[in-house]
Amino acid sequence: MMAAIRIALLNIRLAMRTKVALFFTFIFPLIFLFAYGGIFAHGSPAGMAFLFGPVIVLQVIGSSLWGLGMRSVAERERGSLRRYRLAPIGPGAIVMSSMLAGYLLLIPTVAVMLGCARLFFHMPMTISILDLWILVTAGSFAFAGFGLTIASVANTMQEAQVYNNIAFFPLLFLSGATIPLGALPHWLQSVAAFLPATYLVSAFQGVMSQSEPLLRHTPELLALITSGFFGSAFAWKLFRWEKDEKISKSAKLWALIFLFPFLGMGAWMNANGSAMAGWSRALNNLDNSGQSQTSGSAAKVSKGPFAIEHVGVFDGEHVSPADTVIVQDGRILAVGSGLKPPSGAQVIDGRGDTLLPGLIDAHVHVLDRDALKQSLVFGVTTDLDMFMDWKLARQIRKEQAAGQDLDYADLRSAGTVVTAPGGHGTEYGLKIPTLSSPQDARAFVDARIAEGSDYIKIIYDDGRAYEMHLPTLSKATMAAVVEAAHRRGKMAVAHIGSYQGARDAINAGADGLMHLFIDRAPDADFGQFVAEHHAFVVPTLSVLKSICGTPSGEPLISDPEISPYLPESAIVSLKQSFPQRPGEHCDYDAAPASIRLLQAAGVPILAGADAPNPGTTFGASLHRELELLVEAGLTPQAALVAATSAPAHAFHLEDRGRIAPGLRADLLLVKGDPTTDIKATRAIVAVWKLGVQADREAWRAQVERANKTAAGAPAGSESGLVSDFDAGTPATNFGSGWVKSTDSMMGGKSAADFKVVDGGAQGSKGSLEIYGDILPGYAFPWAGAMFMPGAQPFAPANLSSRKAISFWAKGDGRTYRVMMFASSAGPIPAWQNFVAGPDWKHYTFPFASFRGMDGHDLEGVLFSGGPEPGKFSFQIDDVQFE
Amino acid sequence: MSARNGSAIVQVSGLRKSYGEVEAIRDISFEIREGEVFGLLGPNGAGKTSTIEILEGLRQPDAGTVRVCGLEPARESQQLKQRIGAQLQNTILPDKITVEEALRLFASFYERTIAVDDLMERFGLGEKRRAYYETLSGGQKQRLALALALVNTPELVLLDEPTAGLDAMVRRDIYALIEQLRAEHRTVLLTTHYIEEAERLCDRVAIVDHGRIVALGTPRELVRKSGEGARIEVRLEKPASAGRLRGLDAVLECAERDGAYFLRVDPVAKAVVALVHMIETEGNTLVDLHITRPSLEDVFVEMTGRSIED
Repeated sequence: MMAAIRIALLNIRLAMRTKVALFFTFIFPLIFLFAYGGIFAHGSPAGMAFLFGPVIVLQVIGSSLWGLGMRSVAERERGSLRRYRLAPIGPGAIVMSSMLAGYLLLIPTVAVMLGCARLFFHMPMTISILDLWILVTAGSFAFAGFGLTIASVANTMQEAQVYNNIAFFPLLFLSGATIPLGALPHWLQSVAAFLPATYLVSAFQGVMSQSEPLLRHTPELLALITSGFFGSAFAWKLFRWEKDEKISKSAKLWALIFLFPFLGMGAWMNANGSAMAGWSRALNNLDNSGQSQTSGSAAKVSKGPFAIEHVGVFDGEHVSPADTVIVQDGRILAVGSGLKPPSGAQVIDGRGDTLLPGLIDAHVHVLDRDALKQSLVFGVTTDLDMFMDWKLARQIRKEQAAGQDLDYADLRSAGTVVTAPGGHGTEYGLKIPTLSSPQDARAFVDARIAEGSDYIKIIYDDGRAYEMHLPTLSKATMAAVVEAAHRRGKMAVAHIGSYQGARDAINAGADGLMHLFIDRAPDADFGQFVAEHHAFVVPTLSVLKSICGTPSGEPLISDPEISPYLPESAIVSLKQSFPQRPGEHCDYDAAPASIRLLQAAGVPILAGADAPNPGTTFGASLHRELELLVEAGLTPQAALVAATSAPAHAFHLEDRGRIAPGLRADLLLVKGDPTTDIKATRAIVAVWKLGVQADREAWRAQVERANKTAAGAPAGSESGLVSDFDAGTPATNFGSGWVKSTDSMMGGKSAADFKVVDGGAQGSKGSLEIYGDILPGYAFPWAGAMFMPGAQPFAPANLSSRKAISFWAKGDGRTYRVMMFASSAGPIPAWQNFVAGPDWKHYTFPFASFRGMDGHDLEGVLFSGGPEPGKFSFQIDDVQFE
Repeated sequence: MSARNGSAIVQVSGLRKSYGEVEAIRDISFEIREGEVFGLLGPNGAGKTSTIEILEGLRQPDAGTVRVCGLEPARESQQLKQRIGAQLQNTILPDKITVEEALRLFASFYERTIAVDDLMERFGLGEKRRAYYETLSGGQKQRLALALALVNTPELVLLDEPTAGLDAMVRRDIYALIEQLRAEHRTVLLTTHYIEEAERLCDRVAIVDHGRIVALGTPRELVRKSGEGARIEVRLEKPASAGRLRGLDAVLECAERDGAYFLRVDPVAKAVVALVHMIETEGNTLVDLHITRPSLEDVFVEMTGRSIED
């Protein structure tokens, strides 16, 4: 042992005397560090944290194979080992000394690299020195064993070079050391699972970029250490002092035993795809940090640091003893007590206030950018969408990547939901593909991922709990979807509508439940059951309350902290609840009961309001959801966790959800102490996204203006008459007139036009003829003429003093539709059918018959042909609001 | 028979070693006594290095018994290595190691060592103590190799071709160092293919050829064994017949070349008397006479039928 140490120390001294060795020990790894950091991480601190592991792993592999291994072959070839042979030391001492020298040279290299990463890239210290040391040591041991095994089976330098190249290139390119694992095609990921370096890389990235405890990587560490033992045992067993001692071919094959632990690991990983999912997650995190950094450089971020002093801090998990948080370049720079703000920093006195991580809403449906803007105004810095138009999601992602997203919440989206033909999700008018069989699940999920889905949302709900009968996925199909998502490293969450549905979804392997059930109380084992399957739950109490007939969001309207920021459409939505069906049994109390069981079992509870469903609106409703969670039995702190660190962790967004150095400066400053009074979250002082303060006042002013305009009925609407077409023109008494409207805006092919013709109802002079051709192309084809009552097109008009719309119609005998658009109802119209026969007929439809509209925010009235294809022609006259 | 007395520190008997088809050692037996310098003399490929490496415990013999310092080298090599010092035929050390580092490192491997500083002084390496191995001359490298063989005050020093490849000046330098060991009554086994080296340094020499010992004894004994005879080269004023000379008493052979006669005689004294008598009786005059005693080289040629350089 002493001999091994002495030889190792001498070898280190010799290396220090050799320029080539010095270059490869210190200069070369730094070149890699700066190249990786500069090119791949764009100089971003979080990017550097992601790439630091790979750079270290490259150095570990390189120094083991090309340094250690080749050195020992060279010593043998040169003959300098023979002299040791005459001394009373065995092969073990030589093997040990080589490994030790390699290891002792690696430690300062890593230290220098760490120093450079910290100094030049401001890399956050997301790994403890102890963990770093453990990883470097295990890696060095494994690869030193590998390098020496190769050295011991190679008969010549040339042979060793060939073996090294064969081993090195897969390790270089397939282990995640150069190309992130998550970016590899799936089949290559399967191959990568058999490579030792893969485990070192993924352990590094798990710890450094995903805040995973090192203990989670115990199997990987054990595999590395085991192969280190195999490797060194082989190197010792096959050790040769003399170059003319040759090794037999069969002995060479034995050396492959080194890879045995990784055959096991690879088989296990391939059998259990979810383990590989971490690779994609880690990559996603890199993308996020890359994006943030891009946005940081997009000039909008105020580079100047700011500090919030004398403030209470809830760090996303606990009440922190810190009282100062310093932000710079969109990231949290420091958290502590009595920290001195950097010179030039803007200082905010947070006395009496509490600083929270920006809130994360774990269940929204993003209709447009305003949804995200409104979220941010209410302190929600991240929206986790659970079904939206994937094309819009893609556009918003692009804007986020370009840094144009600073005035709206960061979006993660499920894109298109996975549902059965005719199932929940298909009723909103958005044309979506559907899934019928487990065989198609993989292709279906791949298509969603290709569209950009960050995770997969499954609809598993037959509607029976609400006395509806909806088609839904089979259990087998749901399980296949979950499996397909996991294979691609994506999470799969399930919308459920009943207790049985919840259990089925958990059994199918869903990562999380969207909604709790209200059809019956849970069994006592429910919490334990979910906990054992490591799933999380987003109860969405707000929407469950609305389903049970109570407009859950109504109290928000009268909250002075909230109401100035609520646009009219939000107020309408908050007042609504779901229509109650006859025979529907609703047991809201089942939800709080479930939450208590889940919490007792340690299941992560995530806050999500499911805006903009009836009773909810973006952002504001998350505050109500927190209140409902506290009512359901969570402590205010636990409720805050549910809207910060818990969703961040559950959705692998480890760059947010907590207040800690290096994380995104997504922050919410509120008056008072929400850790004792949950409603204090509404008393918002300021919201920052990536260190940029949201302009809440601009939003408030805009809301005020819009609500004022919306308040009165439009001038000219006093009589209620829109048009009688008797003047020979399509003139209107108010609003912005008649316009053509067809499905071409949704990619359809239908066409329409209109003109005023002689002869109207009841012998009047004129009427409006609407004609066109309905052609297939869009799922819900339409074409016709639309009246827009607002002063500007699509501006809502308040016609709530009216109760109905009436008109005369005649035509070719086909069925037509009158469709009503209201801003609170979103982009999907409600409609009534009418028949335009050979004789004029008068129709009156109450507003309420259009899905409960009250006319306060009407955007348009559309007279349309379709949905059946074909040419059509009809006339209308005396269009009037009654 | 022997110049010195002492118990046997090396005992080799019936040693055989083959490398595949090649029989490197066919049958070698000898003993080395404490305090003697024993030489294995033979051409390259005679089996000398194989023999020494078996003694060092680096190779396993195929047959025969070997005892070194009372130990069996193949089985007890670690204990043995503590007690012997050795120098390889071609010692190579790392380029950037200094003289002092090499000596101190190797000294650290042993239980018993001598002062490295003294060793450096004695081997003339004091000035070079901080020099890298790659900067040393051939002679300095060889002196360092010898010094390394002595760091553990070994009971037996094994030197494999200690002067091979060195020029004559440097070789004499090394001889002096080995003679010093002899003066200290160290037990030394050295292999060489230089006859001069064996004659000068060794108490006893075994002549090895084709894996066998063909002769063994002190250099003197070996020479004597090949007879008391000598060669006489003689030039006469008037020619004499070779047949006449061959007929002289004690003359075994005679050949004539360039007017000189070369006689192989035994015993010398008798032949000289007969030769002088013949010259006087025939009225001839002796122009020149040269008597050559046989050398170890002659012994080697006689024993092996070829010159050692062949």
